[in-house]
Amino acid sequence: MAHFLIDKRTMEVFPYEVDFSPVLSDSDTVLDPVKTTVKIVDSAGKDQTGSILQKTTFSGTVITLVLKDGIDGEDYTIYITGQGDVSYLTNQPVRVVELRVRDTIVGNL
Amino acid sequence: MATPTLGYVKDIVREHLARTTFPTDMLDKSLDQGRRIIEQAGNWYWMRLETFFQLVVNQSIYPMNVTGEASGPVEVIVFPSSLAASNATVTTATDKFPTKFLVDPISVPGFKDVRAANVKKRTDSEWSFCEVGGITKEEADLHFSINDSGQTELILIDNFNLMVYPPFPDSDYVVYLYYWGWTSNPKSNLQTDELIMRFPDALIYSSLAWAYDMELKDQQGAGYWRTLLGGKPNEIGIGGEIAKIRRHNFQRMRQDNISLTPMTGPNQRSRRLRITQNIWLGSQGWR
Repeated sequence: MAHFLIDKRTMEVFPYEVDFSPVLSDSDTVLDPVKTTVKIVDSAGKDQTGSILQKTTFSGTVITLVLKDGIDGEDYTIYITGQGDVSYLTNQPVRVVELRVRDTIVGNL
Repeated sequence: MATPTLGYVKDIVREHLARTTFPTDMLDKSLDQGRRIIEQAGNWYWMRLETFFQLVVNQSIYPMNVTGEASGPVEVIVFPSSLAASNATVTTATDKFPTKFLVDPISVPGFKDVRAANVKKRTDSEWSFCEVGGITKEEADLHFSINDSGQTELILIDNFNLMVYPPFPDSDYVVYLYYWGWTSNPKSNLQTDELIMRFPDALIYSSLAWAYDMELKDQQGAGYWRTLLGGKPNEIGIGGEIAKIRRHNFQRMRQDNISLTPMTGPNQRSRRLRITQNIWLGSQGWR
């Protein structure tokens, strides 16, 4: 089950923040921008990272994903494997975000 | 109306449960189980599958691997090939006992029910008819000697084993097996298939019935969806979406399965086996 859930219109581009501080070790002060990875797959399991992720930025233990495009009716799953600057060898938590792209369904999730 | 897709069905099911609190993994399971519920109600035309496999000389039992994935050898108890009637050293005085063997299973992905089979030698250009089912294994075991040899005339499926008669194939025949198989929902939200395109409501109702039972623990609500799916309780197949599928299924398949046969007279038909029994309506044995 996803940790977070967001919906999106196909034409939208917006930043989405995920804070890893609750799941990183106390010794970590920042997310390592090189070791931390992002993978986005569609409902068939096909890698769509390149078509959905515009860019990523890091600030402390927070990663910001800028999401774009998507196909109406598709469900994407975003896997972020966070690695801190100190405990990366023993602690590599994964945060999962479910991204539903819908142009016609409105209302709060 | 746009062509219904898996995503279309997902969204409708999700809206009836909860957009946020019904885990997507459970939603996928409810769609899988919904499809299974529909396919349990009958052998529908989209479930017609077929496969080929090759017999092994003097091997009578073939465990079926229904997973679609590779599988190792399986232990069976059969009469050894040394007892084949073609073996000149086998006499009426020879002990004939079954023995445990390891044999490779045949792949019949998603097997649900058998329809028909044809058989031929590897080099033959035409298929020969092979009867499937129709009699029990107990009856077939009495009809054939335990070391009868020859081309396969009868195939029986008992549990997950496929058995050929006569029990000692004298060649590595190729079998063309026609069967009913369980099907799966498309993998992608954007894809569709015959069930989703023609009967989307059936999958919606069956998924909701399962989800109301398993996720919400709401038997009354599940009963509501089950009635829409299959008519009143205990009348699955008489009303609801299942009845629509059944009507369409009948139209699709009647030209294949119904023939009128005289009970007596010069056109009376009989089978190679069970020669005292006529073939009546619905036989798949005639061609």
